[in-house]
Amino acid sequence: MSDAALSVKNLTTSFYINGEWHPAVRNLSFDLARDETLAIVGESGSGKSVTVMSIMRLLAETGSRIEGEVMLDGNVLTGDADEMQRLRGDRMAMIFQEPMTALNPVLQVGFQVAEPLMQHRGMPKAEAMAEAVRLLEQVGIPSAKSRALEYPHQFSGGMRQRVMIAMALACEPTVLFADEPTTALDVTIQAQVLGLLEDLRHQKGMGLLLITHSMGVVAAIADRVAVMYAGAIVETGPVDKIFAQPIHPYTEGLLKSIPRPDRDASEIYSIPGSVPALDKMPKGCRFAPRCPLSTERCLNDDPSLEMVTDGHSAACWVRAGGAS
Amino acid sequence: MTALSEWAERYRAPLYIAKRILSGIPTLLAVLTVIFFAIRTLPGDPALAILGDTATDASIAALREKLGLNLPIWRQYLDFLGGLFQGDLGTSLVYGRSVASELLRVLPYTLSLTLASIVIGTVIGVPLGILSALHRNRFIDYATRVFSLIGFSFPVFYAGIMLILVFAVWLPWFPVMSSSVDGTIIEKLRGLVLPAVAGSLGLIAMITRASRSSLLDVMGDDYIRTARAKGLTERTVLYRHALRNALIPVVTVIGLYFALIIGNSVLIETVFTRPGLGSLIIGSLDNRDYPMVQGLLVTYAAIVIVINILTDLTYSMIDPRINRA
Repeated sequence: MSDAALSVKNLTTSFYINGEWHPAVRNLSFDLARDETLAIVGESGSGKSVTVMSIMRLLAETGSRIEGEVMLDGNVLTGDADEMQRLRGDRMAMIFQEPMTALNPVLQVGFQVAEPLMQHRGMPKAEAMAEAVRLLEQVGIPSAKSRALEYPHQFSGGMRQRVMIAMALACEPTVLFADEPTTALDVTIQAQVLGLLEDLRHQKGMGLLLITHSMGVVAAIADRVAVMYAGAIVETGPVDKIFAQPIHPYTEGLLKSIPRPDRDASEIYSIPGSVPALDKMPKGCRFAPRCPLSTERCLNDDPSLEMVTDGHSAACWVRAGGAS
Repeated sequence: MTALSEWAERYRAPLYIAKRILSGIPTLLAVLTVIFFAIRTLPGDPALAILGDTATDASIAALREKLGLNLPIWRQYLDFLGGLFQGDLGTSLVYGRSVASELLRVLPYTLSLTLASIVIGTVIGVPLGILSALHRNRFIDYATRVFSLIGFSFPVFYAGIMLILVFAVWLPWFPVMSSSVDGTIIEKLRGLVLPAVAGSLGLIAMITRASRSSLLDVMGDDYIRTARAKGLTERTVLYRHALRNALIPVVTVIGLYFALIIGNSVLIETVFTRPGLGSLIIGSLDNRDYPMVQGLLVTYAAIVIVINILTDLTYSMIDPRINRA
């Protein structure tokens, strides 16, 4: 897919732990089209954030190693520091989980929104500030003109996340990464922020890569889903297919663990165990030790992602028969 | 918004400053009270100390009367506060001159020495700290840390003597004694250099350490990641986003250290034979010049309180979260 906004091939990110390199993300490949929302879902420690941080090259340089190919707007990224600095905030932007700490406490909110414009568009400060006010209005901040001169501590969590969105969209990027953008917000605010993201994505025709651990969020705004486990995609497909006919036992487990009003709390399913630590990864299928269906083969060989129906793939010996 | 809250909003900064200055008054009053009673409980009779062993009982009694030492303690306390209010700190028992005028004469020397030390300490310490943090665990960092450890462990009087030896005796760039009371501004500044450098060594070390660790802390904060994520250059990330936040704890260190440097000035002024509060307090203690000692303590206390207020006001300039109340 050459017209993809973002195309990732065989991304592998390793960390140096106790004298050895351990991959936190393994051979990850996916495409993100313009005007599409792809949700990456998985538990904590599955490598969702590391994936995005690797693409943005925001990981600390010492102790981490990034391999693979990333194409943005049809251009292969070399990963060169200067090139990345020019692309970040311009062609690809990011929203973080913690709106309370992600804004600089000593700088005016409007100025922080204006910064990408000054940096990438070379706009003079006054012009960039005026544009920042327009952006703040666009994300639904009332009396944006006076609020632009205020500081982050004068904003609520939801409002700060709107500021983050305004900042990320300042240069109209091709790709927007949102790392758990609503996790730290009140439930009532979550829906507003998700709705805003979805609207703006559509207006600007961006690709939105949404990281979340919540299947509810996925159902609300995603077009496609990639389920990650222990650093690899174990299942990917259109959101309706994943919800209707999950293939991988892990996806099944995630779906079963969504609380539902027609069931008792005692019936909420939880997947036994937790994601293994980086330096204690089992061989074979990484999910096998927690999987109700695991066979001898699962414990020894690692399955690869196999297409089951159109656009719907999974990596599972039992369900997808993946030939390695 | 009501008229009152609108008014409070508009004058938030001046209100904060006024509030902070007013809050210094009870502190000062408490310190003055402690000083007054501490001086009164010192052993020895001031009248006897002034007149010497050969004084007659009658002359001692007369002097006690004149000094007001026979009055009840609360009267003396009220007289002391009343005098202070009018800028009267009593009369020096040794010089026979007004304590206040004597203090005002030497105060500029100590203040200029202290300020010069602070300026040198900050101008050298902050960049060194930044350099050290940016080159963490590399040669520059180790060199800076060793340098600050040495600066920190050098006694002020020894540093002073070494500075005199090298830069005034071997290399006659600066005067050996910086006591030149008169002279041009240039001469005064030349006389200030070595004492100020001696006083700044410990401060450089403290500020370097504080700014290094504070900057390293701040560089790990979420908003730094945000700044990088929006494509700012590392330079902008450092100077615009990190430094201002990193300076907040450094201001604390400077504020706290101010009192210590004023204390150190006693040693520095002695080594460099320089007039100032330090040499005055040594002479006054030797001579049991109680009104002078009292006046000096009041001055030190007032300086420390003023510095605290200035430190707080500096915070509020750096950090918008502070002058909210």
